[in-house]
Amino acid sequence: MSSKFSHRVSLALNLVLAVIAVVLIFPSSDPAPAASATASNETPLAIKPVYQHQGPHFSEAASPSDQRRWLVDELRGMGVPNKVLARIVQADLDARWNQRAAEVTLKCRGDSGTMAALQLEIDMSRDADMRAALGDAGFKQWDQDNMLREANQGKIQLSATETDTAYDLWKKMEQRELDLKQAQVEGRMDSADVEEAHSQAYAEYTQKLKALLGDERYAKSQQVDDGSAAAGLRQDFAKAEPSDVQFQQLLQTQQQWNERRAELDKQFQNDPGSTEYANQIKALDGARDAQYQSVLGTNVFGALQKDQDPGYAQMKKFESLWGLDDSSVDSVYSTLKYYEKGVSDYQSQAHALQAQGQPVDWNAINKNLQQFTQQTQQSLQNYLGQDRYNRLQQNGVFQFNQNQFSYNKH
Amino acid sequence: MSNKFRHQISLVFNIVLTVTVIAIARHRLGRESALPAGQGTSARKANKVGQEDAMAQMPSFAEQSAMPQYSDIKSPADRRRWMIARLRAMGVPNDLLATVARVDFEVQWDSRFDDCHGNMNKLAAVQLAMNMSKDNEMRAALGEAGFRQWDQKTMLWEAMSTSVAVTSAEAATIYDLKKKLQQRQLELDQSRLNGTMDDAQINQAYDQAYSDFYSQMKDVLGEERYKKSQQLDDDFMAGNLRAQLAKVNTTDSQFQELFKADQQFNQARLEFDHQFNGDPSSAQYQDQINALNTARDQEYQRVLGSNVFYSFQEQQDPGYSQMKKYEDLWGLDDSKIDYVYNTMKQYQKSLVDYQARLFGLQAQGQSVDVSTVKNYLQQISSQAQESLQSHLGADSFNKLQRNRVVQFTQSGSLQRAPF
Repeated sequence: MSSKFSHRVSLALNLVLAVIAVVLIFPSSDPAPAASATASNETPLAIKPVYQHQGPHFSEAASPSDQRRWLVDELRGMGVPNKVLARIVQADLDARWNQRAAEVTLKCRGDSGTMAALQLEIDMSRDADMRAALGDAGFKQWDQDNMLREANQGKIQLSATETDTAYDLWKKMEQRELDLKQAQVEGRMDSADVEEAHSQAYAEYTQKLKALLGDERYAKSQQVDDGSAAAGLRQDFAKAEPSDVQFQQLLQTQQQWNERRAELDKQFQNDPGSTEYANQIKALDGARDAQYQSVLGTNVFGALQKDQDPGYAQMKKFESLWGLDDSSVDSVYSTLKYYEKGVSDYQSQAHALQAQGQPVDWNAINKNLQQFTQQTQQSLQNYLGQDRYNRLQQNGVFQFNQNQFSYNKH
Repeated sequence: MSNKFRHQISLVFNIVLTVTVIAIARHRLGRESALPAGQGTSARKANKVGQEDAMAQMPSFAEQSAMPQYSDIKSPADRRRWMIARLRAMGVPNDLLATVARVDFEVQWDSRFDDCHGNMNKLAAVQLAMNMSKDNEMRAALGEAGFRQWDQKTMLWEAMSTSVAVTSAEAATIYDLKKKLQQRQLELDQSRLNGTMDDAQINQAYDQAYSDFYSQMKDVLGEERYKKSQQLDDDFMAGNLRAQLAKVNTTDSQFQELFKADQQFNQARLEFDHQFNGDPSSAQYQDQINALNTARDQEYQRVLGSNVFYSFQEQQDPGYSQMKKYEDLWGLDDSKIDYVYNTMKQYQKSLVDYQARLFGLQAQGQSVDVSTVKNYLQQISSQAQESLQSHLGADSFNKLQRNRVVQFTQSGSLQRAPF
């Protein structure tokens, strides 16, 4: 090797070493999440997501969308499950929207049109925001889970094709809802038209879902099948411990009630506030209860009714705090039930007479009811003493107002 | 300089540069390996809060060569600490770290909520257990300083409807007060669950705790800043009024008069609310409020003049706004909208007047014939309907009815109409 050649090699080596030294001393800056977020946007998500390392440092300067995407990628790389990632993204979106809503509310002072437009904007951007953060596969996985939770409450087994088809139907329905909301906000459709169009779209959706799953599986998915109804009834009557024969009779009674109730709802759908509707429902409920009572016997049915009564449950819960015992709780419960039934029967009789065209002296009726109310109040006060009476009243077990009692039935 | 000498210098440079490159490379590699995987060199500068805490608490497996995965760590608390420490090292801000920790904590409780199968008592118990453990879990995940920073920000945000400037000492005092209130709420929830206090006692205790908190907050901030923080200050109130009057041109002096009327109304309203605290649904309370509303309306009318006041009332009415919005869709114009508005106002007034007459008769002990009442109500209802139908045409009238802008029942009484 000549001296000239070796000199050239040495010089070239110096140059290379100098460049390496400069690169090591001044490393290139971290890649901006914005750029890498776009690159990884189409990352497919399998069970184990493909993690694309976009850069080790969070960028405060990046857009919120890029920050979310970066965070999801980093967390996904740590093996955080998709459902947790989705909830994190949702929480971040909610926080940002809440902040925006607070600003808008202050600016427009709660103007309903402006707030409705903002809500629409939030609803319409949700899917795109979630997809941008989770990637297509992550978004679909999360969104399909949402659909299954909502549209398949009975948790029936669905094939992959069925799931995909049901998801498409659900998304179409969701999109239709957004379109209708937008039409209303923009004044292109009024609320009655929107309601009607929504009912129609929903009917089509359920029809298609039924066609996809078949009547039986559809009913199960909506928990309106015989099995679900029986399970619910069994839970309601668990304390009564009905025999198999009794249970079948109860179930039959309930099914008949359901059918009749559906007919009534349909018949009065345009006037659900009418007295006639309320009376028919009352009669229907009464007939059902009478049938339950004949199946289970008066005592068992009475005990069951008591257990399911919120006022009774409240008195039992605070029994010692209110200075009550089992016998006084039973006594108060019986008095209130007697009062309630007395008022109801008396009013029904008066209405029936009026309906037959007979004259009804409503002033006299109201006076009698007032008297009955005062008697009941007095009797409870005497029995409980003022302190316990007040406590029950303060806690809404019953309320005495304008000469009428109301008993907690909620 | 001879060629030989230049060659020798170049060889010396070869050696020096090689040594330099090796030294720098060793130095960089050594520094990177001292940090958790994925951490950039500038990461530490970005977010110092609680970092030392969290780094010190990082589970030892984080330092092992094989990087653990979320599911490898069985303890949810350890898992969160590990996740937060790694994110913090990457410069993620404390607020976002808190969001990650909070969501992960909440997801951890999902299965316990599911197991309640909708049973309200069980749900309340799980909710309380979750609320009670939240602070400790968040503190463990974020470290003491990170937790305090996030929690103080949250507590101050909850305490103030509008954020006002506070010193760090004031912020710390309000934070302590808010934490005391929060603790009291948890105790009361616990009492509700255990049945050791009834609803009336709990409501009273809640009211007391809130009243104490706001009174102490007022002491910390002083009257002016306190009012601003609760959106009770004049600026905020004036802003509300200005928004209400936006479509009505008012002079400055008119605005000031209306603002004064509003303030007097609000003050009187507060006093009534206080006076009837036990029974805001009583007839006496309603009468007083009605009288107060009437007095305010009269003052508005005096200041604005009848025409402007009428137009102001129209714009405040939801039914009127709806008709304006769907004017074209419902085949209306300004004159028709005014007609509907006036007709319904008149109809409503007839009902109220008639009702008042009936109450008066009853109060005097005179009997009221129910059939006569029903007939009268049906009569005025039919008159209003016919008048609207003939003026608007069946199509527009039906649209108004379908959208509940006007609504009549079979018995003739007006139900929930927005007028």
